[in-house]
Amino acid sequence: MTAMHEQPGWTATEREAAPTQTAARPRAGSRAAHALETAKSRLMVTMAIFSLAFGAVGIKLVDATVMSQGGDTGLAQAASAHAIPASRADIVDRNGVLLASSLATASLHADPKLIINPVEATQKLVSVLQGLDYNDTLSKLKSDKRFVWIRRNLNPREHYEVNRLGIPGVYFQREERRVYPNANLTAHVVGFTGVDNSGLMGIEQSFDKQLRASSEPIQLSLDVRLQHIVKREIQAAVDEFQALGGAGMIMDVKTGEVLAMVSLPDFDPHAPTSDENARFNRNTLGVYEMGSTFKIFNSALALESGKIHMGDSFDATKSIRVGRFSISDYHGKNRWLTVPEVFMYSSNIGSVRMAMEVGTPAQRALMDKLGLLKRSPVEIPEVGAPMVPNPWRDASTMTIAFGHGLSVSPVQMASAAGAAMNGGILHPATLLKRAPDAEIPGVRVISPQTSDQIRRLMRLVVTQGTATGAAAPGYVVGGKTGTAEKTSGHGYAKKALLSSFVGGFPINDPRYLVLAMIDEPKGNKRTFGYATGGWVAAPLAGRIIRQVGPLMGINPIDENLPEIRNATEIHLNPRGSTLASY
Amino acid sequence: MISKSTVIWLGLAGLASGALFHTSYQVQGLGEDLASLNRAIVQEQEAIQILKAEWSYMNDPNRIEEMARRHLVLGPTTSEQMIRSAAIIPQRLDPIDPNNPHGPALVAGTTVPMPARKPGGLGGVPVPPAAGSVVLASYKVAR
Repeated sequence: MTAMHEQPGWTATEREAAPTQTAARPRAGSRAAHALETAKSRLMVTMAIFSLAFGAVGIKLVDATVMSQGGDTGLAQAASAHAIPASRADIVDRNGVLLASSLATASLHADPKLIINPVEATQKLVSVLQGLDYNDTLSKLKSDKRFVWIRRNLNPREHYEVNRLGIPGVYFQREERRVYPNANLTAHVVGFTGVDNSGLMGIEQSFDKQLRASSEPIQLSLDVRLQHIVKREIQAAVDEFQALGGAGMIMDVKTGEVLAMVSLPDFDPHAPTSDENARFNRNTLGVYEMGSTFKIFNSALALESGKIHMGDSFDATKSIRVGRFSISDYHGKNRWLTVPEVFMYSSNIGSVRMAMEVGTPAQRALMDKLGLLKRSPVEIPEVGAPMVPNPWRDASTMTIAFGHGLSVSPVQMASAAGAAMNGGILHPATLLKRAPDAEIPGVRVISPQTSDQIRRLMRLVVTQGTATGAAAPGYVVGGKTGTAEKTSGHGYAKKALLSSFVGGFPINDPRYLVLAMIDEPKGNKRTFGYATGGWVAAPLAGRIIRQVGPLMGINPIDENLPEIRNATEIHLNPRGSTLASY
Repeated sequence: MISKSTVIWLGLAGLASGALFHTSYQVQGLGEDLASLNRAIVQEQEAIQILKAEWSYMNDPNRIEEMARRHLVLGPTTSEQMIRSAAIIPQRLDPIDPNNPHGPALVAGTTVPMPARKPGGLGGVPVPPAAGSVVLASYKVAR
């Protein structure tokens, strides 16, 4: 085809070129030399381009094969020996015990069109999968669909058994499932995940992004052993006093780490209930008027102000009237009481007089410093905001003196009480384990001297006051009980109590703080009908401390040693009278 | 006519392509090995993860407590059972006498009960088990 086209063209060129060639013949020699020259130079240029190009290819080749090491993207990558092949990282306790983990599981599904004998297949499946309904499965396998789920998240044994049956048309789908080996024990703190593996509560929710992004486990400050002890004891108290619920915490007062956080009733994170009461974290989300345990802060306020000293006395002979209410004492002594006596007998009247002498601004400032006026910084989403009186009138000052009119969460209470007893430094509460060499954040809130006096006051309550039940021989416990009447409608309900205890041990050099709180306990025969902090929460805390002490490796000490007595007793100067003696 | 150098070059090219062929086959084989090893690693990791979860489940304090109550006669330690330091415990064992590895002969009339040194424990003559006793386990010291 090309030749046919060229035929006329060639003749045309020939015809035109013929005369020119004959005319140019005499100068043929110089023309040829010129053409040769041109060809030579063109060849040189082409050669240069080619050698450049080949040079570049060569250099690149050397670079790709010899110079670069491991830069070859085609190289297969070795699986990491450490990374967990899961899309969500683990959560572990402070000792590395697994609290939440993602397991790869197989889910069984089938294509009914490919099943040869549905009856036989169903019989086989039912024989290896416990709890699989025969009729339901049969109707699924007989259906007209191309995809039916038979069972989600098989365990490894079931996976193996079904595989061994070798039924055609039955397939596995790899899935991931979040498991909580300790189930209910840490449910409120760890939380749970939804069907799409996203965190819906607790640490699972607040660290959702981090858990998805990294394969490094998140280490909590919790210790499952302590968690178990606290849960068992609180459960026992809730059962004994037929209470609505309870809460308990153990906190390291030197670091602010929460070692145990229990809220009852609880729930199973594998099948979270919709029951709000069970899901409710009383330690962080619940805010309560804590009652007399606030006298720890009231005493700190009075002693820190410099206006009031340990030996000062206050008139507690008659009740104080505020508007339509009157403030009176539960364990009324009807006489003048010294500061330690006000604390020991938990005198509301004395506390109010102390607070009024110091004044509203100072009280408010101290409550703010102790972190009682803002949300706790604890790392879970379920954190309740405290209910702060606004405006803060003198009447508020009076009621806050004995723990009413300002509602705080137990975790705020624990942090603040820890600060009052640890030498005066507030460490923010945390649910994450602090690295051993990390600097522990802390703010000074009261002086070491005031803190020392608070410790002595707390010891006094355990040796002679309302919290004798919290004593644990060898562990020098100090603390304060509280019995708050719960608000109901517009007033306070006399019978609905919130009995609590907050204390520390060993009180001469506090390491651990224990908080126990029982919601609406009912007195029984053993407690002569009482359901107050001293009868309910203090013995509960004592039982916890007696078990936690040996576990945490705290050396029991003889509480009668002179140096311990010197560090924990109160000596009122005038006549050298000793308030705390044995 | 083919010159000598051409033959040499052709031979070299043949050798190179043969070597390349061989290497690429080797790489392919190694790649398959690696892939199967990676699969095995992931499988093992998943198994480890399951075992970890099971270990944690088995160590649930509730379960341990229940089993301890059922099978042991031990109760929780109390503070009275603890002492301040191990130095308080009186040392009753005498230092080992190399001439007499079986320990001192019991003196008649010794009033303080003393745990005897284990026979054969320190390079001594192994003591045959008493007749009629059942040997549950035995061990040898590797040298």
